[in-house]
Parts: sequence; C-alpha cells; structure tokens
Amino acid sequence: MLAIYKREMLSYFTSPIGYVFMGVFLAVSGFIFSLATLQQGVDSDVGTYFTIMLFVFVVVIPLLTMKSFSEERRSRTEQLLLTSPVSLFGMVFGKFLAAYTMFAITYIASCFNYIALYKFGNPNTGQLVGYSIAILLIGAAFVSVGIFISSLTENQIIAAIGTIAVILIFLLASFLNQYIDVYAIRAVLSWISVYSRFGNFTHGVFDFNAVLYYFSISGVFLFLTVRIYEKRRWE
Amino acid sequence: MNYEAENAASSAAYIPGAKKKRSFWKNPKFKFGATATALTISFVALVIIINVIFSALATSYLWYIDMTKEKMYTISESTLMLLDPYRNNENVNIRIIFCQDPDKLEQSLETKLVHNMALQYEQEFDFVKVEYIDIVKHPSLADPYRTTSETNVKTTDVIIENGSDFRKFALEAFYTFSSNTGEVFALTPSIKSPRQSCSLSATGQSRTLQLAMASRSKDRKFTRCSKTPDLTCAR
Repeated sequence: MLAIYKREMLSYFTSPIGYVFMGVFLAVSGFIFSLATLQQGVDSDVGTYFTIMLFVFVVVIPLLTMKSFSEERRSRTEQLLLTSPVSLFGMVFGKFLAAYTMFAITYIASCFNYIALYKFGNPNTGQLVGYSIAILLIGAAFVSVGIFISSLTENQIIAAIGTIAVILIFLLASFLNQYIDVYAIRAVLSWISVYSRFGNFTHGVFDFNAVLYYFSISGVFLFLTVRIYEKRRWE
Repeated sequence: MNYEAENAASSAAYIPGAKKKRSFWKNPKFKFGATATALTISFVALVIIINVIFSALATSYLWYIDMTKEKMYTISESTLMLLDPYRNNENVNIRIIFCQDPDKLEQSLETKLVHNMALQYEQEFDFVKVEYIDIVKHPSLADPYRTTSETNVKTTDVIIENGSDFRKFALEAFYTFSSNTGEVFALTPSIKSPRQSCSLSATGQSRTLQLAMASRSKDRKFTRCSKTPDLTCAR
C-alpha cells in the first residue's frame, strides 16, 4: 500500500494535476475568504466561506481523483496493479490516501487565511476547528466518490463529469425539499444531503451524526471500489 | 530425504479432486456472482441502518457539541434552577407546538435555535413535550388556537399549551432584533454579546414557559414574573 501511495503522490507532482489543484484551490479559497469575510465586514463568522467552499469542491476534487484508476486502465497498467502482491484494499486505499493527502495539505495551507481574521476580528477558535474537521471529512467523502467513479471508466473526462454529478447530488439533494410536500421524502433527502448536514456546523453545532455520515460515505464508496476491482480481477 | 518429503507434499497438494480448505473471504463465490452482489448490498444496507439508528439516538438525546462562545444551544443554569420546582407538579403539563414539520424548522438559524431549545426543554423536563402540526396541509389543526375568527396562525408561530390554556407566540418573541435593520442580535454568534446571551437563555426562553405555566391563573392583568424582575408578562 505504501508503494502505491508513494507512486501516486509522485505522479501528482510529475504531472500538472497536483500543481493545478493546489493553485486553483488556494487562489479560489483565498478570494472567497476575502469576499465572504473581510470585504463584507464580517470579522468572525466564517459560515458563508465554508458553505461556498463546499461548492468549490465540486470542481476541484474531480481534478484530483479523475485519473486515479482511469489512467491505469487507459495506459494498460491496471493489469500490473491487479497482479501485484498487494491486496485490493491496499491498492484502493493507497490511491485514496494519496488523493486525500493532497486535499488535506492544500486545505491546511489555506488555513493561513485565518491569520487575517485573528488580526482584524474575533473568531471563535472552537467553531473554526469544528468547521475544519467537517470540511476534512466531507473532503474524504468526496475523494472516495471520485475514486469510485474513476474505477468505472477509462476516460478521465467522463470520470470527472461523473464525480461532479454524484457530488452535486449529495450536496443538492435537500434543495428539492421546497418542491416536495411529503415529509417522509423531505426527511430522506435532508438525510442524504451533505449540505443539509453541514448546516449544523454553520450554526455553531458540532454534529456527531453528520460526522458518522461523512465517514460512512467514504467507507461505502471505498468498499464499492474494492468490489469493482475484485470483480474485474476475477473476470 | 527432506526433498522427497517436500516433493510428496507438493504432489499431494495437486491431487485432482482433493478439497482444499478456503477461507470465506477467498472463496470465489464471495469474489463475484450473486453472493458477492448480495454481500455488497448487505454492507451498504448495514451502513444505512447504523446511520439511521445513530441518527435517531442523536436526535433523541441531542448528541452534539455547542461550539458557540455564548453556548446558545445549551440551557443555562439559571433556567434550570427556575424551572426545577415544577418537576413534580402534576398541574404542569406543557406542550410546545410548532406549526410546521421539524425539517423546515432546521432551515434558518432563528427557527433552528428556538426548535433546539424546545427539544432541550423536552429532554430535560418530563413535563415538557414538543409537538408538530402542519397547518398548511391541515389548516383545521390551527383552529383551536384561533381566539377570534380574525386570528391568523402562521407557520413560524410557536404555541405553548398547558392543559386548556395556551399562548401563541411569534418566532420573533424568542429573540432580540434591530427594528431598523432587522438584524438579529441575540442569535448571531458573531455579534452577540454575553449580556444578550444571558437575556436569551435566562429570560427569553424561560419567559415563554413561565407564561404558559402561569397562564392557569385567571388574572388577566399585567404581571411581573417574580424570579426575573426584568420581565413583564402580558396576560
């Protein structure tokens, strides 16, 4: 697993993808942070910033994950992976961990934005930590979705578009609620929606229920990716 | 000699028809086919069930961490002390009735906070029950709370009932806001001062319950609540 992790990490920096991801993420997060806090005169409430960032993830996370398995299939190196002395879980988790490391490092780098907030405002550190934990968990969930979609196709563009679509469904499921009159359906959509669950964090509540849900999404999609490769290896 | 023994052992391993013991996880049935599909579905179903159970428990027992500086999602000590004497009072049986489904109450900060406070009261005090009526779908449910034919019950209203007596409150009655800008003071973490916090948790919420409990009295004059001298309750 470690070998796959190292190889993946290296591949992010031997191709433009890693640099483009980090550059776009940091530039966009810096701009949105400035727009949503300092320029609005809001010196401590970062709820809007984090909410907008969720939608930025829709675009930037597929950049990271679209090539994970698609590229292996396209370049026919998938056979090498499947016959290598590493478990399928190790292979999938190694790729996931590499993509997630890129995401987490970039997010942590973007936390330097908060220095300005501490200088000019009075932010709630506990709330910032809560937001950050939630964002890191949502990132893990979205990366695992991207890895799964990437394992289904050898076309990177299709993998990226597919990931965007699935992440959007997870984010926007609860937006349909205003058109639905049946409480049970609304409850299910709110339950599925990552955005709806993130709402608790924006209101200053660290929601354990949401944390479990984000872990579950990651676990389920990684499991499904392993199953896809288990099937492919035996076929 | 050893070579012969090894050779014999390896030959025995390849005897056609010899049954080898395979672990469940290495069984081909597990790796593909109907069993594999069933196993995948079972795993996803198990994750969903765990989430649903945890979700139900988290909602019932309010499993969360209040990250706001002012502890806006926590009942204050003064409120607990104020309501403690009513714990064993058989005449006190409070129903806090919201006029829309619970998922809609989670959509804005103001409704969420008032709803959350009501849930906390329900969890803390046996004599408090939180209920929901959908007055859009079933307008007749609001009829008992219309004191005159001109009385309008809105979806954001909160009805507090004790026995046959009730009071209908507008949502705005639970928090402080600027009449000029409409900006909410008591519920916005970024601009809420400790004094305002005290005002909300110690008086705003308790006043409502006190009103409901005191409403059994037939006196319809203005009454000053004994334990919170800054409150004047209209009857």
